[in-house]
Amino acid sequence: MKAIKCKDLNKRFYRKNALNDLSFSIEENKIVGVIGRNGAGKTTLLKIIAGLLKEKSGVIEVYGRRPFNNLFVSANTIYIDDAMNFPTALTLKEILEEGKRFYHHWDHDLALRLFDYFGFNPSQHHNELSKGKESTFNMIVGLASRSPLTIFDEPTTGMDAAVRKDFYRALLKDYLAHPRTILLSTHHLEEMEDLLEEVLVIHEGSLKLQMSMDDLKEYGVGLTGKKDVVEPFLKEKEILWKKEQALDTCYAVIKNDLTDHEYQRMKEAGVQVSPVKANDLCIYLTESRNEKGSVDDVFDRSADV
Amino acid sequence: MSLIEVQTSEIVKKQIGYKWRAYTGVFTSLVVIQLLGLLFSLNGSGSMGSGRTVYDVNITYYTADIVVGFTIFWGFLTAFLLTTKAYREDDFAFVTNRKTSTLSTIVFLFMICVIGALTALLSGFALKLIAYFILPGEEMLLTQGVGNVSAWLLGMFATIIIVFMFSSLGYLAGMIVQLNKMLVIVMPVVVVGLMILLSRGGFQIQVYFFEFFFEENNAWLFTLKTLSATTIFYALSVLVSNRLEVKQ
Repeated sequence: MKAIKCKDLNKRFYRKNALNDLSFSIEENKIVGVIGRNGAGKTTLLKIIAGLLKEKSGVIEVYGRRPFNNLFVSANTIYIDDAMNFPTALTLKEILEEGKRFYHHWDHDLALRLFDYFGFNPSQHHNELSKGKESTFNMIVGLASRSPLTIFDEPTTGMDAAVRKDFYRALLKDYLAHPRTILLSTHHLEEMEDLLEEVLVIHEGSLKLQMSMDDLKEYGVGLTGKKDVVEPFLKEKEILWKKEQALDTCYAVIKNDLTDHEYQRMKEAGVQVSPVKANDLCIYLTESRNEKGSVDDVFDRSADV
Repeated sequence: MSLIEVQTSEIVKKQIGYKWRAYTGVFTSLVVIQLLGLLFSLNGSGSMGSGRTVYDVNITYYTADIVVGFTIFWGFLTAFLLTTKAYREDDFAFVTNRKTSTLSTIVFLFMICVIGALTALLSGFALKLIAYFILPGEEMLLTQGVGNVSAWLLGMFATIIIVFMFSSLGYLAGMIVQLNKMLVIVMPVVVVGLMILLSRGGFQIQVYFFEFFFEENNAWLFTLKTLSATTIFYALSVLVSNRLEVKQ
């Protein structure tokens, strides 16, 4: 059974389309990264999957049921983001105990051990925590719930590098011991490369790419060289991204479907062929298609005046 | 991880327990508002005096009327507050859907209304004690005990369902406001405006409202009227709440 099935999903906020005809499906028991720029619609999508928002049109199914206002989906899903609202009257320890009451698979032992490890004070309140501590606590709730579908929306907000590393390890260890479907949205793809099995790239509310992490790492290839030398090679190729650099050189990213023959010819012509990191590739793929160029151009123009 | 099927009743029960532990703030406000009520009651809720050449008689009634009034207001306000975003999102931190969330809130409201009504009525005795010991005057205090137990219990029951009815009104008002922030302003304006308009036309809706509920002498009819109104208000708020999304 598919964990999530989504077809022609649309969501509109007052004036803006947040999701446009989004279609994809996710198998059970995978760790999937949801990647996209700010405002691409990641959070909206995740909230619709968690049943917190209502879709405008299209089909969304979580374990075969429509998530909005659905008790079954709620019982089998946990949605963790950086704006979790826990009752201010409860202490951190009491919040964990509430989690234990609500989630059938809740591992209280794990929750308490993580709680100790990250140095929380049991009598503290959730609204007194610092940004990073709050994210860490929410992460503990998310992990301990062991929900069949666990959704983390930018879980690492505010965490320092050491805690992030711990989080990735904890997530992976717990996932290996208790496989479940985990959705993660993140801006730190380079840190999560080894964690994610599959990636959904979302751009302006539509699906740009869905592939396994391994494929994504080899999806693109970068060509660097003199402009007039590189240019002929780009014909008949799908150019994912291109940037002209100083001294008439340019850097182009194309799909990695070069034959040995082409590869040889490029080498002879003096074109440098380099792999493209998954993180960079996602940035290139989600570059807005308008004529604004890069942030450099903003400054160049003001220099002209 | 295996998928779990849950029963609505099971989740409602858990939610009630959760709210009971999480929303302790409502009891703080109850204590504060009833203490305030007690303070104002020290002035007496009614008095009469008569004088002759030789003696003066001045009778002051110390009753919990003001405390009960304040408690009704508290019921309205608490229910209203429970519909605000922060509280609704607290609900959705754990397993729930609209139905279980609303049902558990209504049960929770009923529980706190019972407590509020009970303490409000008991404060009547506290008040008499305070008045007896503290208030100055050439007093000859005539303290009346519980008197008729069944009458007191009936009063208790009536207070509970009245407070509960006002909580349902507050809950409905809160839910309507949650639909659109503009309604915070629009709704009171419309309600008060309508009352003024109608009273100009000779139909005083507030007077009619009070006559309808409070001047009903038949206990059964009173119960029927109050409980039906409560049911209608809660049913309407369920209808309204089903249109709400959780997080935006």
